[in-house]
Amino acid sequence: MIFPLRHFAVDVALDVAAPTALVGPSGAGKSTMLRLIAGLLRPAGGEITCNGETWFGPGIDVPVERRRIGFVFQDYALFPHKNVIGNVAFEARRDPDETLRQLGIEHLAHARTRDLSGGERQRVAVARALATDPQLLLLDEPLAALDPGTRSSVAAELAAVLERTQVPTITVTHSYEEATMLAEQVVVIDRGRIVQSGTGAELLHSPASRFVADFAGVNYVAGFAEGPVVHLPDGTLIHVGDAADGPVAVLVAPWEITLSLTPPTDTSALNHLEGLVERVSVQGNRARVGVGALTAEVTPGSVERLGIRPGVKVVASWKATSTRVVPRPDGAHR
Amino acid sequence: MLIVGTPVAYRLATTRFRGKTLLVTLFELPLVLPPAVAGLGLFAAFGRTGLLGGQLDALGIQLPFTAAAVVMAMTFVAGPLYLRQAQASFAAVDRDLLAAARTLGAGPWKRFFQVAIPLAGPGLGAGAALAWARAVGEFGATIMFAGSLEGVTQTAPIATYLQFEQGDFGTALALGAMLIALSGIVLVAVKLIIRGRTLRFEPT
Repeated sequence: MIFPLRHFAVDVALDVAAPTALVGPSGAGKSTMLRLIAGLLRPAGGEITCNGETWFGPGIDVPVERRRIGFVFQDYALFPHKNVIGNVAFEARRDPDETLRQLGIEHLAHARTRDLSGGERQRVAVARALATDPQLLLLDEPLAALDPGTRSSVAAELAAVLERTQVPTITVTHSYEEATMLAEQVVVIDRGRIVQSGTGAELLHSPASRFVADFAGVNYVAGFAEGPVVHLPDGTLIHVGDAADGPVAVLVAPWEITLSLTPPTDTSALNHLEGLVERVSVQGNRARVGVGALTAEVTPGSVERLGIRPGVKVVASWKATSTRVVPRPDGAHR
Repeated sequence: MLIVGTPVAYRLATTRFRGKTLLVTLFELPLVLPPAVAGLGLFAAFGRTGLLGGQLDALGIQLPFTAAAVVMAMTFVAGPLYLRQAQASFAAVDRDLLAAARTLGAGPWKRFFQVAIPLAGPGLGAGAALAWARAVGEFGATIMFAGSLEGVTQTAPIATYLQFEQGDFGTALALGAMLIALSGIVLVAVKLIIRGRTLRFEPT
């Protein structure tokens, strides 16, 4: 289907069989895609079919209210003038009380929506969508309205709910982590195009581009391979496990990289890159440290012990066997 | 006025179409027109010698100087006030809520009655009260189109004016006091409605 936006057009061909996540940066066209599928926006061309039923095509445009979809809005769009059960019963085909029970919020049935926490609001929104017995459940950034502290626990609960309901889902998110939690198939979108799709592990293992690698959170260093070494544009050599030739990208997971203040001498690791710390961000029990083009993941304790802060010179080390080498499609320039 | 004005305002607030601005301007014209001119216009349209007067006469309908003429004059002048307020109230309803109702399978009627009206309700009430107050105070258009027949088309403001004119200052003052009280009550009611809305729908 095609939909022109101000700066680019959403133009994708996608088959959804397994629970799917659409990921990409803000403004990539993810939410637009979801609204096109729902019928809230009208494509300029193309086709949308669900279970063999054409929703959009030449001369066909099934109105939203007859597409049998469930849509969970980013801010949940609960009706403020109805209580929880009133929201869920609005167009319910299933027993609203039973649906509340499935989501573990039966005790909230008569609560006013404005008295709910973010996670509870999300459950009500999911319950309301599921109560209509949809053929397809569309979730637009279902975790974005939550504060970071509760996000991961709510994500885990949502993943469990989605798994139980057995309704096919398409989830839009800008986080790779959420995408892998909520879906089997992850579709990376940038500027209205599908960049790559596969399971979360596939994207992490062989990202098709720096964009996907950044997304999956794996280091992506472009270079030129000659056997077991890769030459970087600045002349640095990287030892790799798999021999290759030609334009390649070296992939290193952030947690494979260790940091030290001086080049270690008694180590089996072959790769040592010296650089200045550019940023340090602590998330829970992990600290992400940016060194040049690389990101290393170490414990907050190590950051403290070594005195790592922006501006400090450190050495990033990793084993040749921790690297993977993938060909670069954008190859020619090094 | 409410039965026709509410759906029209909803359409105007939720859809876009060619010539919408022109249509809205046309609807709002009586609001800025001098009321006497509005009354003159009504007379020119519906009077016996007016544009539609001949056809109405043939059907045995005579509008000017009847109670129906009073209603027409008031609706013509005060209606746009309600329409404006109603349109603004519908436009203020979160579009995602109407979209959510659609995705759940609600048709246009259900969306209108169960989502748009309850959410725009306080604004609609305030608009209706203001329009009603404007209608009660209506003078110029009424006297032009409906005249001042005692017990038929004589409205309170017109009576006030006539009593004053005839030198009965006391009666005029009494009528005036009644109108002041009425206007005051409406204004307070509008403020209460609007405050009630903010109390009810302000998110957490």
